[in-house]
Amino acid sequence: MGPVGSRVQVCGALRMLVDGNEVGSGIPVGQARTLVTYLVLNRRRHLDRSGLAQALWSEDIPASADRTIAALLSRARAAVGNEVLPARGDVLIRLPEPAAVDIETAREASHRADAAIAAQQWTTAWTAARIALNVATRGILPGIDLPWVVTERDALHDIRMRAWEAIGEASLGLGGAELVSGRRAGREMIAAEPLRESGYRLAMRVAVAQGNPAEALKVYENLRSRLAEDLGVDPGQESRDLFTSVLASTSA
Amino acid sequence: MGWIVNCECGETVRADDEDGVVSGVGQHVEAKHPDLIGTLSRDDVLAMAEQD
Repeated sequence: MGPVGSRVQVCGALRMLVDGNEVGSGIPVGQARTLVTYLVLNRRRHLDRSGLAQALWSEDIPASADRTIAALLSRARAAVGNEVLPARGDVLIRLPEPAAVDIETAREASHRADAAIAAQQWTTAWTAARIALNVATRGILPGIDLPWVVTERDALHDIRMRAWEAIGEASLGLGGAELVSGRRAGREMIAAEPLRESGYRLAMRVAVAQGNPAEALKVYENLRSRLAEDLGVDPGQESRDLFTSVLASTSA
Repeated sequence: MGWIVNCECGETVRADDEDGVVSGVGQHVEAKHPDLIGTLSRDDVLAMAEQD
C-alpha cells in the first residue's frame, strides 16, 4: 500500500493517525468513541441523526438524543478536525486516502488467507492469516453491547476462527518448525469452540504430521466424548474418516 | 504511542515507531520462523501491529 493518508484502529483502543498525526486520543472515552467507531465502520455511508441515535441507544432513544449527538460530534470534531468530520449536512467521516482501517484490513486478509489455502500458497496464507488474527483478537468496544457492536464482535470471532484454521493448514503445508503453530491453532480452535469439529481434525492432522498418531487418537476421543456428553451425538463423517485412517496407520 | 505485534508463537514485539516494529518483527521472523523469512512486507507488519 505504501504511505497512507490515515490509519485507523477500531479493534483494541481507538487510534487515528491522520497525515502522520495521532488525533484519536483526543476523542473523549465513552459515547464519543462509540460514535466515532460507528462512523468509521460506516465511512462510505451518509448517516442522518436518527440513524446515529439508533446506533448509540438502540431502542431506548432519549428525548435529548439530538442535543447529545450534536455535543458528541462537536467533541469528536475538536479532536479529529473539521476536514475529517465536517460540521454541515449528513454525518460522514472523511478519512484521508489511502486509508488503512484495521477491521477492513482484517476482513480482506481473511478472504486472502482462505483463497491462498485453496491455492496451496502456504506463505501467502500464513501472512494473511496472521494479519487477520492480530486484528480480530483485539476485539471491539469491550463492555458495549449495542446490537451493531455485537454483530461486529461476532464477525471478528469468525475471522479469528478462520485465521486459526488457515494458520493450521499453512503449518501443515509448510511443515518443519511451523507445525508448532498448527498445534497451537488446533488448541485455540478447540478452546474457543469445543463443539466445532474442524479444530479437533486440525489437531489430529498436526499430531500425525509430528509423528504422534496416538495423540491424534486421543484428540478424537476427546471430541467423541465431548459430543456424546453435550449433544448425545457421534462425530461427523469427516472426523470419523480421519479417525479411521489414523487408526489404520497405527496398526499397519 | 507505541506499536505492538503479538506473534501467535507467543512472543511480543514492541517498538516506539513504525520503523522499529517493522525491524523487530523482521528479526523475530529470522530467529523463530526461518521458513518464512522474506514473506512479510512493511505493510503486512503495520497491518497486524496494534497501536498502543
